[in-house]
Amino acid sequence: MENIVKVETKNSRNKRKIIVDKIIHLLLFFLVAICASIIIVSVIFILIKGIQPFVDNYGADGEFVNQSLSSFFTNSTWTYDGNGGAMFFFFFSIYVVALSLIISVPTSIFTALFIAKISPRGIKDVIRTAIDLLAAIPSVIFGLFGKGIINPFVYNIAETLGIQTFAGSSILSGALIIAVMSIPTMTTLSISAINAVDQSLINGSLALGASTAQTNMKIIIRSAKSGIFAGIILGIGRALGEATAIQMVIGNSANGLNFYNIFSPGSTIASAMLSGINEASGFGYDIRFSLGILLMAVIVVTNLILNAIKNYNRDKDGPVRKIIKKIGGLIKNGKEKQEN
Amino acid sequence: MKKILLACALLASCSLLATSCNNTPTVNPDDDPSVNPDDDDNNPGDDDEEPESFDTSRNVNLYSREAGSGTRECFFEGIGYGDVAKEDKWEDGVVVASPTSNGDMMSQVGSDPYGIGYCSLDGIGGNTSIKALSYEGVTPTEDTVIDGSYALQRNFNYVIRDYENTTVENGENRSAVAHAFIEFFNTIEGQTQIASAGGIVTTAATGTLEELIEKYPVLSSNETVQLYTCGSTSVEKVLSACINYFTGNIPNKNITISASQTGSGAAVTGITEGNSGTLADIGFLSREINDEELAKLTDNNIHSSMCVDAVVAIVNAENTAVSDITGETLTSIYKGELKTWADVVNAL
Repeated sequence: MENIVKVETKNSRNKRKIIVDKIIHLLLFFLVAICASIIIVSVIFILIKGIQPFVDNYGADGEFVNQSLSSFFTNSTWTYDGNGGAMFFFFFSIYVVALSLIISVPTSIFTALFIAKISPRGIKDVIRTAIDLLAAIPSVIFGLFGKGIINPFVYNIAETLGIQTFAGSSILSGALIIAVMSIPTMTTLSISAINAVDQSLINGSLALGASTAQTNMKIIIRSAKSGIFAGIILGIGRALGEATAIQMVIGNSANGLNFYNIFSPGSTIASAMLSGINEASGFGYDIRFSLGILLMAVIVVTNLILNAIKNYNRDKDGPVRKIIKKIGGLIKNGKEKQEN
Repeated sequence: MKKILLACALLASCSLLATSCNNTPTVNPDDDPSVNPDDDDNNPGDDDEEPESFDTSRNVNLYSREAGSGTRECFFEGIGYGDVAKEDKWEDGVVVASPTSNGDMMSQVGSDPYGIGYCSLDGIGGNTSIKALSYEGVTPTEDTVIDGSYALQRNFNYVIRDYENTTVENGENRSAVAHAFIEFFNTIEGQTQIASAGGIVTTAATGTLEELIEKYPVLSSNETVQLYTCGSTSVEKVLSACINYFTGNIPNKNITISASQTGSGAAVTGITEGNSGTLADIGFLSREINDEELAKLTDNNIHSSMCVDAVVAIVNAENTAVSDITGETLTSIYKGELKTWADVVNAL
């Protein structure tokens, strides 16, 4: 008798455990669903709001005015009369990020190398903390820093070179600010990548007579390439979406596309969305959502391209390889035909 | 030991950065030739390379607020370049930087020796890094604005919510307080407050706050009433002076008015559509209400002007080339026809 009772209580205990488990599973699933749906809802919201300027009528007095789709993608002058184009912001977003990468990529890779492999223990912790703190600084603070320090700095450089600037508000200032902001992300990920490099590789290199410097440059950085690249991708993501700090230093001009003068003011997609949104109403307000769609598209496409490049060496039959092979084949065919 | 060394190195690099940025373009009144004529030994018209003197062969750097700004609309309508008043229709190749507020405009033009921009008159008092330009020979002051000789002026307008056709809690009291508050702008006390905050009053005062308290019993009751305002940021100074005086000097201490100003564009949307369903009580505009917005209003949305403000063309205090400007010249400058300061001087 006693035995049976014991078994029953055990069973009921188990049942209770199962029920509690199920409840906790449901709760967790609920939280996950909330997180996931925030992304879906916000994307759908921006899509709907962003398509509005292309469809709705914004004209007064019976005139039909809406944003023309073709000029949105071809025109590089930003106007609020429906014929403006976002290409100015598009090119400058890419341009500013590319400029910033020239500064931030080497800096963060070598900083990471120094922290992970070269620096003595005491200094390592201090620098590491400094970089982590840099990542925690809000972008408004970077914006103020840019206004107070980077803009006058750029102004002085330009004055020495004899180039006129808008008191330093320029693409170069924007690129510098973005570089500073993306360095912590890139460095932190590069450090983990460099730390993950197999010690036997390093030992092998040193045993073969390579110097420490040679090992650092040729073995460690090369083996950590994929991790470093992941850091760069994240850094680019932050750089493309940055609005507050950029808006404070870049000058927010929306006219006169040029790539040769990095001392002239410009605007990125994100900064264009932010600047003047408080004054905007009607069409000027809604068109910012269209810029939002463009920004999301740019970020997604950039990430896809970068990931494809990152995986280029790993999978021999990847899509990029195939495309390049095809292009190569076409060029070869063309040449052969020409020769014939 | 190493930590100390590192700290020293960090300090050294910081001080290096600081010194490199020390000669900022902000104007120190002592170095400014226009303020201190004793130090001014070079002719401002010369093309010499001295950084302190004003080099007229340099380009004019254009600054303008973004589309939708009330200040911008007033300025460009006033100088006769209506194409860019509401939309960003600049001429091809004209590079214009956009500060995001009145204060930002002043700080940017104040740090760019070759810049030109515009801002509200009440903001520029005491700012030594910029210089206000006379317009068509008239110096912008309160007197010239009141007698109408200074042309670049605008109304600060308000519009109140339609309490009869919108659902509102405690509507009767809110409506009464809102009406009392807008009538307060025209009382003797109200006009004093507006004037003390930099607004310019053009009409004669009617009535006093005492009379208002008699007219609206809610002001002397114990009812709790909370009002919200929205709209232009330019009116902020004037508005907060009025709110402080009004709520401080009525017997009912349970009345509060909170201002959340974002921009003229939010005034009419704030009282008709609201922010996520919550409608504001009074909206302020630093420009005239446009047709699109008028279409949204009913007869119960009382709207009128509160006071007048002037928009002033400003240049950097280092700029010795111009002190008086005309609408025609300003239009040519913003069209990109007059590229350098020498061109501007020649055109005047």
